Amino acid sequence: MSDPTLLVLASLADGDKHGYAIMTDVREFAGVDLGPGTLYGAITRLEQRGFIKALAADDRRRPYRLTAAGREHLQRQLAALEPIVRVGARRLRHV
Amino acid sequence: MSWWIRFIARLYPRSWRQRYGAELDALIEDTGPGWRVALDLARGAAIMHVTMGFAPLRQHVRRLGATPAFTLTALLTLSVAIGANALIFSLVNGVLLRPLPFEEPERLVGVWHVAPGLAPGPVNQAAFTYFTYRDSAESLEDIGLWAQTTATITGPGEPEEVQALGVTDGTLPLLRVTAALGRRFTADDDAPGSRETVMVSHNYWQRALGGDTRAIGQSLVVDGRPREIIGVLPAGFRLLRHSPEVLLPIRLNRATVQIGLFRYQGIARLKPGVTLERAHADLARLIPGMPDRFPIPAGFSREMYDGFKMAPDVHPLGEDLFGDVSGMLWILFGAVLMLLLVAGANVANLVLVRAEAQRQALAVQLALGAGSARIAAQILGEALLLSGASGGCGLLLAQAGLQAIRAIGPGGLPRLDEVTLDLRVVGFTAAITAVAGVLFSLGPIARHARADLSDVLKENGRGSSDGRTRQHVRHTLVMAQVAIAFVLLVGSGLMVRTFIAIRGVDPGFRDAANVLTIRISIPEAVVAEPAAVARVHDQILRGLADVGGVHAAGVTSSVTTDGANRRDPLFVDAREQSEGQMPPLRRMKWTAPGYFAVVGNRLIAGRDFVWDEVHGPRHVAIVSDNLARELFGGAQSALGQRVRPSPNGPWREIVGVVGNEYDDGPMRPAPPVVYWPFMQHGYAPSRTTVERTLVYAIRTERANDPALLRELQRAVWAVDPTLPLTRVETLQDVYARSTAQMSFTLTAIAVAASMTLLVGVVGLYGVIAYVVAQRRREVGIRMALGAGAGAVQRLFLMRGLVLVIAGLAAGTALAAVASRALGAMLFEVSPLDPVAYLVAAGGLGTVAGLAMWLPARAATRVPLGIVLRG
Repeated sequence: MSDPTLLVLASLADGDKHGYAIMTDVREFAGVDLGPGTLYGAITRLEQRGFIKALAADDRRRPYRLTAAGREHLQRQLAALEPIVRVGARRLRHV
Repeated sequence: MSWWIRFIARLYPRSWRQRYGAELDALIEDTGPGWRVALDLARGAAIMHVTMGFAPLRQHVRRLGATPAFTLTALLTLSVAIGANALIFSLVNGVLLRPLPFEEPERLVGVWHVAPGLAPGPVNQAAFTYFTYRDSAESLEDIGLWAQTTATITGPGEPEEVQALGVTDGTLPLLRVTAALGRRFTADDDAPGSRETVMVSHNYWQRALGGDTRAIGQSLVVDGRPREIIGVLPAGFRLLRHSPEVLLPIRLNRATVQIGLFRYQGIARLKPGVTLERAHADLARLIPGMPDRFPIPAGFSREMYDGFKMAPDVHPLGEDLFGDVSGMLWILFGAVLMLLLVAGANVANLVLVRAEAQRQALAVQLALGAGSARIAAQILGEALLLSGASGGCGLLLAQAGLQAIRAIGPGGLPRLDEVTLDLRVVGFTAAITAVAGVLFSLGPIARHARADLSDVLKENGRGSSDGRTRQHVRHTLVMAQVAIAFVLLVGSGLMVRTFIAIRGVDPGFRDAANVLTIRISIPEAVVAEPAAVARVHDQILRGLADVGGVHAAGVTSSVTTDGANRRDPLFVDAREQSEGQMPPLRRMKWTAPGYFAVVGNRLIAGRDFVWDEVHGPRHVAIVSDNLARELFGGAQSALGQRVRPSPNGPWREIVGVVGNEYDDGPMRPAPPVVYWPFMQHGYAPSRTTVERTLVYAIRTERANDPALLRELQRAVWAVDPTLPLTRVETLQDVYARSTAQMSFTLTAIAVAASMTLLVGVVGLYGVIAYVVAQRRREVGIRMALGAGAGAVQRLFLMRGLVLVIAGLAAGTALAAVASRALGAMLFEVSPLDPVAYLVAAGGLGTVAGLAMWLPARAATRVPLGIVLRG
């Protein structure tokens, strides 16, 4: 599971973060190294679609916040993944 | 942050960096540099460019979508115009511009002669000219002869007549054509008395010989004689318009060659660096000495030879292929370019009008700091998107059109199967598309990219000097459209008048759809003796006449307009030639009793041949009406006169005069023709000669009945089962081929003219409708003050009429110049034919009047209250 937009949304689900904080968080919970180009590509798309919003910049580092639409989108995506995870895990147990 | 990481980060789009640049830089400082970071940034920058590049495109699409009537009209108009141009350019490219499929084709030339003392027009090669040039021409790498013919191949299956080419041993090497299998002809194959050989086409090898490599060395019975198969031609081999199934050596016997008998086509390869002029001069210097190399036949003299005034005519080989097709294609190209101009003017007008409507929005954007460059880019982007989409649609239309043209195969267009929408066509289409897009946007850019908001807000759309300038531009465009549409309509009218004139020509036959023609050839190896050949033809003719539904049957060496052109000098007893003077060459045909009646040619004086004159040694002739008039002053006075085809053979009495045959097509003068019985005694000195290949003309209402052909075949095979029936078609088909090019040009110009008229009228309608819309308030007030609807409509009609009249005046001048290009395609119609001009002007004026009246009428029908509130 390495869709950068989903990883960014998941990272922002427990609170506002700026770029570097998202990067380290994603590395910790998903084990995925997001490069700065990939991360800001995802941030650009998410902001354009209204799933996250930029907050006032702290120095040059600008934190982002999950919007209601973003939260809903994340929930839908995770719900779609859930049966795949469940079935996959069950089938692996029976192998 | 290291410089190279900073450099890569700068590769992001500028607008993106304005928003996210500082954050990205801060992040990179936090993560630190590294090649993974660099790669990730480069990839991110590239993706961002692509993503953001599409954003303006989406905006253009959205804006164009907001004005669907404008967008659809412009798209349709341009697509049709660009498609027509791409289609005709693909023909020009594939037929005329693409080099011939031979190595270094620019060095290949057709070698002909002119000899005004012998015959008008081009004169081809003879054995004596070939040997002289091959021996002594310094400018030629080599010269070869070729002649189109047919050959009957007999084998285990049904006998088959196939297309054949006779060639000399140098012809294939100078074309750089090698055998796909086996070998080419050599001088040994060309030598009389040597073993007889044949090369077969790749197609024939596959079809008849099973593609077996062991075919080489096997025997093939061609015209009743076994020949050894020595080679297979490469797949797709074609010489000019001919795709032969077999190649045969011409085998000239140098020892017996005399001056005369121009019956071969010549082809040569120039030495590197040799110009046409040098080759011409080189061959010209050899002509006077030819009678010193080869004997002059008895009855002819050196003075006669000098009187030919022979000179070489060396020209690029492509000209032998294109013929007059090139003139036709360039005319069509000119016609579709005019269509593109009219469509372009129309769309430019629409773009201007639309830009006017968006003027305030653009000025506000400027005032908010959008910058002139951005506005210009926006206008240009939209125009390019519009023209680009039209270019794409145009290419699709062109592809569909090309398939239709291929299916019809019109106008004897050569190389039609080679015509494709190749890179050059796509490039041409892209170029006209881009030029159109840029041109459309120039006007609006010049106008709006520097507009001042206060001016725009103050200006109420008309009355200012600038407004008048814009009106002038639009009016000029409309006048140009009317003028160009008029030129094409005149061209179309002239072609229609030509077509009508052609239909009035009596071509020398009647009711051609009910005359079936079939070629039958009797090879020497099947029937040797001329008298026996004549008897076989006679028997076949009787057998065919007995088939059910056949009214009558006749034979000739050539039916009208089939392209055959055999010429010999005609000596006339009543006009003894002055010493040393050569009488002109005349077209000769060989026939038998009943042919003229079968095809419906009129017997003007005297009588037809009788069979005794075919079989027995009786020397008679029939001449065409125009020859009788030219030589003897009339048909009656020609009867009893004596003529002969050589200076020392027996005289032949003219027993009949028949109607003229328009043998070179209805648009060219009917050539004078002499008809002989198809077996001749003493035509060649002290020999009996017979026409082995004859065209059988059969009058029947069952011409299109497939069962008839089987019955005819049985009738022929009852006489000889080895004889194939070939080129089965009606006389109508033969004749239609000769007028096909004219019909195609007529149709294409008429289609281009109709589309131009339609597009031009739409443009005129648009302009008047726009003017009316602008002045609706004024109309309302005028009507409120008592002006009648008619008076108001006249106001607008007058305004449009001025444009139409000015356009027609300019169009008349243009048409007078442009119609000269059609000159060669016109028949009994002057390029300045007043009927064509008046009908075109009347038609255009009527349609234009309607296009102006409709919006004018609409303006006077809107209730006043709505107008004033609006």
